[in-house]
Amino acid sequence: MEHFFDDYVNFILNLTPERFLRIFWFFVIFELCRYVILDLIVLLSTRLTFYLTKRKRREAYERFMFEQPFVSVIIPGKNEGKHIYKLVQSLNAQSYKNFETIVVDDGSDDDTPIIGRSMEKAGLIDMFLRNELRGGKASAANLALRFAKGKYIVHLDADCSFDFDAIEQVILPFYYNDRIGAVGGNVMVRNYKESLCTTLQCLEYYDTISVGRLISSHLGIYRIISGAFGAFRSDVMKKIQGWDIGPGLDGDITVKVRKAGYTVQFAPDAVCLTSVPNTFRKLAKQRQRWDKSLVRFRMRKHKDVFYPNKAFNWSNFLSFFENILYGFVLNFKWLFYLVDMLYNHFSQVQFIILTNFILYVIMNYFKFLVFSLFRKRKQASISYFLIYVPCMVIYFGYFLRVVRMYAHIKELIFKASYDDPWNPLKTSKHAKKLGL
Amino acid sequence: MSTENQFIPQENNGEVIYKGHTFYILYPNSGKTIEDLLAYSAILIHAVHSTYADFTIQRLRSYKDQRMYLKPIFFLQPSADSGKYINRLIDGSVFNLNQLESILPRIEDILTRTNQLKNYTASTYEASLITKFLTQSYTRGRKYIEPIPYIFSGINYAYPGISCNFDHTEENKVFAILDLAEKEGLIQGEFYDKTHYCNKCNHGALNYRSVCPKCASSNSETQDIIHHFPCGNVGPMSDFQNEVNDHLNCPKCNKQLRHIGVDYDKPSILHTCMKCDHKFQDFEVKAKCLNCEFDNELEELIEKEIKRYSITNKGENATIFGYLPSNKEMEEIPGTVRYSLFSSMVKSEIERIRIIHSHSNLAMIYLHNSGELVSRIGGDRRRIIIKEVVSTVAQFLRPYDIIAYKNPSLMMVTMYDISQENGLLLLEEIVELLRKLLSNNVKDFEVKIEYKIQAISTKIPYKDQVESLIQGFD
Ligand SMILES: [Zn+2]
Ligand SMILES: [Zn+2]
Ligand SMILES: [Zn+2]
Repeated sequence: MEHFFDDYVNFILNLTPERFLRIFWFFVIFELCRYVILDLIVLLSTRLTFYLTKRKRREAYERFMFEQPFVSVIIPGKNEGKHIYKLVQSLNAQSYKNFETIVVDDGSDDDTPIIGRSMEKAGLIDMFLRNELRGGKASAANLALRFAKGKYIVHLDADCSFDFDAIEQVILPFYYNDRIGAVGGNVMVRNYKESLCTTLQCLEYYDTISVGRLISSHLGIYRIISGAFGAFRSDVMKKIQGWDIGPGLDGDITVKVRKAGYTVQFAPDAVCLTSVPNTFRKLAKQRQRWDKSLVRFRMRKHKDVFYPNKAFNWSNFLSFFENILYGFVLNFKWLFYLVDMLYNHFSQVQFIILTNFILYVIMNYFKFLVFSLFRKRKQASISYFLIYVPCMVIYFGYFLRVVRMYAHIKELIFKASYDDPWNPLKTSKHAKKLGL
Repeated sequence: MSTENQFIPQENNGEVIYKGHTFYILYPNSGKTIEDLLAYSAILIHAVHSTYADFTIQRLRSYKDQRMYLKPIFFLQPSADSGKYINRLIDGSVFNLNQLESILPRIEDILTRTNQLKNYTASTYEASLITKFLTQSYTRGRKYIEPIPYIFSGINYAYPGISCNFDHTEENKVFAILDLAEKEGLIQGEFYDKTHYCNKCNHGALNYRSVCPKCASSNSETQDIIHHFPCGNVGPMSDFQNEVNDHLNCPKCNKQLRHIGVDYDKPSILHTCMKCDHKFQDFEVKAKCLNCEFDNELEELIEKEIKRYSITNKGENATIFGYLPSNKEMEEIPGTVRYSLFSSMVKSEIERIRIIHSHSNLAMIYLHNSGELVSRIGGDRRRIIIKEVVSTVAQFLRPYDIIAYKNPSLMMVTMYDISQENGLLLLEEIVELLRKLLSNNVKDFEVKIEYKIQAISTKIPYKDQVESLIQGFD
């Protein structure tokens, strides 16, 4: 042990800047530059913009409050009856009142129809539509959309709950300019204290959603509006004719909005709490579905954003490029790094792993603490999370990466997402045939 | 008129005499009152006009006089079948007078059974109705009181002998009569059916219909919802229809819908209210009352069990010997004793005055129209009034005097240690006060009271003394 420690100190002392770069190139280029330095610059820039646009935002708010547009809140889902009552209570407490609630039950086989009907009868929801035959989430959302009367459509997941001003905050950005076609809400983890798995996801959501989407939105490459909480302009939805078959329809609809020539905004103050999977097994299953849809939608269905045709748009291109680079290519580059280290620095591989780990831990602490300054809404105290930050290295660096790689390979080679029971077979069959 | 066999019945001014029986043929506008008809053995209602016939039979059967409501009544020349309920009210029908022979056994049977009934007057309105349906059943040899579905009934089912006594808007009172008879053990009910009544007016004529849950209008259109699988588009059938042909085309992806279950399906239906444009999938069912037009929610309808009743042995006895409402209500009144106890108290009083040579009296107060009083004032108020009557009477008596009710009409009191003359003066004062009390409490009620006082004799058996006191009033 003592021997190992001495060797390690030697290894560190022998690290010249060149050598450091040679060995830790992956960390420096793909982690430090992209996720720390660039993020920090952009975050500072958002803060600056925030102060510069104060008047504009106040005026937008005044126009919004004066107009009081009618909003349709649509909640499609299957077997979500148990959540609806709590959800409706959280909606009733909203500061913004001029909205209707449309719940679509997509062929539930539990008590959902009874619960929904009785709540409709009691006037707690405005419309309860049930499809006796399950058609998948997209069809359920489209049914609600078909009968929604609002100027704006807010799409929610039934198992979420909302800050009192969430609807107000998610509609407000539409009044900043008339090119905004959709607004995504800020999704946070409600059950973050339930298990280690949920705590780590909470930290992940802070990083990838609360901060990550603030950044991508600012850069104009914001590419996914969570199904859990997003708002859309009705006229834009009519134009793009609603949702196409999922899975991954959250990302898909966002791309469709962007392709139709509208921009997409992130609303950090529109806060929604969701329950995340409480075991790693369930989490892996959920992420495989999400990751497969990256391949399916970016690289297959919407590959035309890379074509230099009439509809070409640089921000769409960049958004996709960044997503594919970081979500897909770098995943494999990470393998390349592993091979590089094993082949060229095999004798020191134990020191390299340890150093990498330490670097990541330091980076995570730095990000967590510094980025916390940019998150306005806080759940628990920062100190609650401090002991979990080192675990993020394993969670992010190994767990999610392995799951993602597995999913990408499966989808690329076997088009596995078409067999996902998440969608009824009757619709997947058609999607596969059409290459959607 | 030589032999009985060749005798052909002849009508003379509506009257027919045949084989010792007198018949009267009742035509519309005959000018006869019901009282005029009492003397005939049987009535023939000229039934060419069924509306007239149906109305007339119900009127005769609901008449208060037993001689009429038990009378054999037939339809003559009925033009159409009047239905099960009316058929149950009549005793048969004939198409011409030559058929009279065929109904003679029926008439004689009814008259014989009617003659078996002991003559008595019911003491209350309810009791008179109970007597009516019991005796009607008995004289027709029926052991059951059966509900019959009847379209003109206010409660959907008519009970022969009871329902005709009420206008259809008040027909719900039939249940009070039947419940009372069942409580008294005269009839025994068993489940027959369930039915529902308007919450507001108790009527049974309801129009059930599917309405818009928002505005309760029944005017709506229904459409299939279509889901096109390849593009996920969902909408009502009309979105997919065109004006040229009956093909279905998807407005989102412009494809033609080809094969249900393969490229599209119909996952649900949707109703659109034509009045308020509300879209909904579940109708609300409401029941509109055809009597008062109140639109009932189904949950607020009054649900009632319809029973079929059989007449018990006790009921049959009461039919023949007369039905007296049990005095349960009376016994519970503080300050009064049971009739049986009253008699035995008289017995010991006779012993007492034999020894001490005092004068004591028995008195009775009879309220003629207590039946009307009872039917006009309901349960709780009735109790309060009876209580007041008792305390009024008690004020005038000595503390050891006793008061008893034989029935709601007949009250008996003792007046111990007082001469008969003074007792009578006292009794007159009591009656005067009761008159005031009742006429103050019940509007437009004519109080008809009779009273009597009788000195207790040591020589006559106590039972005879009590009986002679109430003779003619019981
Ligand atoms: Zn309506
Ligand atoms: Zn289509
Ligand atoms: Zn009514």
